[in-house]
Amino acid sequence: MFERFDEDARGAVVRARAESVRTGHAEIGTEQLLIGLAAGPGLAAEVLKAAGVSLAELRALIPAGGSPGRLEPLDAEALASIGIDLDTVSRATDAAFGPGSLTRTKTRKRVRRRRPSSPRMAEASKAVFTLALHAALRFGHNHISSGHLLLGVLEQPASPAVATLQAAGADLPSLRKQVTAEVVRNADRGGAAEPGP
Amino acid sequence: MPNETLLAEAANGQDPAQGLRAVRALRELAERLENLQVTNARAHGWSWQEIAFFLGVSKQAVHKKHARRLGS
Repeated sequence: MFERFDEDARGAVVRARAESVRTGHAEIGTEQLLIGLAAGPGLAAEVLKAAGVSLAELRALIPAGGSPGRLEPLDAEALASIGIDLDTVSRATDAAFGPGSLTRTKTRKRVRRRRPSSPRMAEASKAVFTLALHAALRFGHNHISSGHLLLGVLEQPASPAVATLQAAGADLPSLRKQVTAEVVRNADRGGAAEPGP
Repeated sequence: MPNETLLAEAANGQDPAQGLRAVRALRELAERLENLQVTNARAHGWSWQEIAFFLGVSKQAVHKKHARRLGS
């Protein structure tokens, strides 16, 4: 599957994997693929940027994965027993860091697996690769660029990635048109026509 | 708050269960305050080295604990 990927497309997959690890997801989902694409370099990143979709905005819209840490309510009673008034502490942190900051902040369990297993490719992401391959074949391209991958993402209307794009205010039909145009133009130029090493 | 008075006596006294519960709550509170303060310090451009100095721990320790959460 990956042998047809050009350098940018491979880079996007590598970045998607890193994003899953960073945000604690056990899988590389379509939303992480989207981040990998948006973080560029590549055709997909350029199109997304031109459409006004920023990497920071996308990241903010994607919830962190698994093991969210403990968020139990603090034991106000027990703290009071040793002379700590949780209300006073909360008022101080509310004033400094915003309302509810003390309840929102997560603490991590100390016990962690030494080697967290590498994130798996989600089924939806594999489907994106297949759709990207089909898109490439449809255009008669012998390689898969980041643009083809973005097309694959867009062709899965129910995916988390598409929902994220919508939440970021992207106009999906126009985005699809832009990517298609760029993918075709890029191939005509002969740019990135050769698969990566 | 008769309940709290009772608890206060228990925690400072002989009941291990109540005393340990207070320690746990205090630790959790400290962890949360540390998160908030470290996040804030990073937002102010502080280096891990500087944060570690004030927390009285090694740079490696503070980095290992917070870097992933803060994505840096």
